[in-house]
Amino acid sequence: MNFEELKSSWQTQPLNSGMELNELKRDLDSKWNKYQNSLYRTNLCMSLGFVAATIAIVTVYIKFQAEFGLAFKLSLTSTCLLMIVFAAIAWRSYDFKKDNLEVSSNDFIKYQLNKISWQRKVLTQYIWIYLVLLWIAVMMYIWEVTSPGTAALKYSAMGITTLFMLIVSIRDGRKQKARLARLDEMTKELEQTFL
Amino acid sequence: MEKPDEETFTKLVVSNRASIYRICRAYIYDASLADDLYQEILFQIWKSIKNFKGHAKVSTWVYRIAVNTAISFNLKNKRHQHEPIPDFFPVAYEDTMEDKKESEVRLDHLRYCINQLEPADRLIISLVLEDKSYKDIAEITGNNANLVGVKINRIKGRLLKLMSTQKHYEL
Repeated sequence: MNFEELKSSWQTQPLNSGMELNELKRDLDSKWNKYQNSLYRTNLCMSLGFVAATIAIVTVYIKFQAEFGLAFKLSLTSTCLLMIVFAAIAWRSYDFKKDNLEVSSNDFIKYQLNKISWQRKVLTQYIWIYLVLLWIAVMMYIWEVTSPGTAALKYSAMGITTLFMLIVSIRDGRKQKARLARLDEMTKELEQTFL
Repeated sequence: MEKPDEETFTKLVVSNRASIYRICRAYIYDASLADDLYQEILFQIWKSIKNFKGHAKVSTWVYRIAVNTAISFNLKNKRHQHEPIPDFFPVAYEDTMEDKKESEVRLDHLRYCINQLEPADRLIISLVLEDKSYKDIAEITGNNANLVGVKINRIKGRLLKLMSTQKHYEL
């Protein structure tokens, strides 16, 4: 058998997709609506969470700025800035969900590799930098807010908060290992898929 | 987000659905999984149709979406990835071979042999089987036509070799 025979045999195969065109369009329409709803929900939740947190921080700042010193102001301002940076990173990751399928396949693969590399950076670097900066901001805030109280209160509050942040980080770090392994696996697969 | 243009979609699907379906069958041996991929490709075309600017040929645009969706599908659904079936493994159609028409057996055999190829090679050969020119395949994949030609010759050779070494499955 030569290749031309294979080709003509291949092209004669029946289309067994099991769906009529109208049924297919109905199905796609419902899938489209679900897709849009989920997109709106994600957008809405992210935006609402961000706005609520910003309002809370700004309210605390305005209400108590006269009572406290520089550390208080600095901690709240830096927390707010960190939130903006974090939101920008989250939106960039979110933006990556929109796959541009109309480019050539090798460009598509490069884009996917770039996306994975970004996700890897977020997990291995940015999240830790964010946590350290957040910890510094929170410590400054506690230092300032608890300054009228006893030293025991101040150090207990700082210790408990640090411990809490450590536990959360260690727990997330374990989850991250599995995610990183999956990202590495995907990178390997994509590199082998270059056409 | 604007709702996709139904009329353009219908035209595109009517003229390309058979090719898209065959690409899915070349990429994924299991018919039901190939069906899932087929639905996913049509959904992606449905989603992207309003972005079609006419810079590329309609068929190139459709094939790019089909091939990229297949790559993405494979990545997201690890369980859908097929390891090549070992030679001694009984093939699904072996028991019922006698009941099948000769052409269907030949097709099954071809699908089986395509499945032995690497995923990237499966995609390229599926485009060759659709009678796409080297230039078209180069446009779809983003390679230059010479490199595509070299790859195609290698994949064709491997496929024909597989077809001949598996002759015992034919009627």
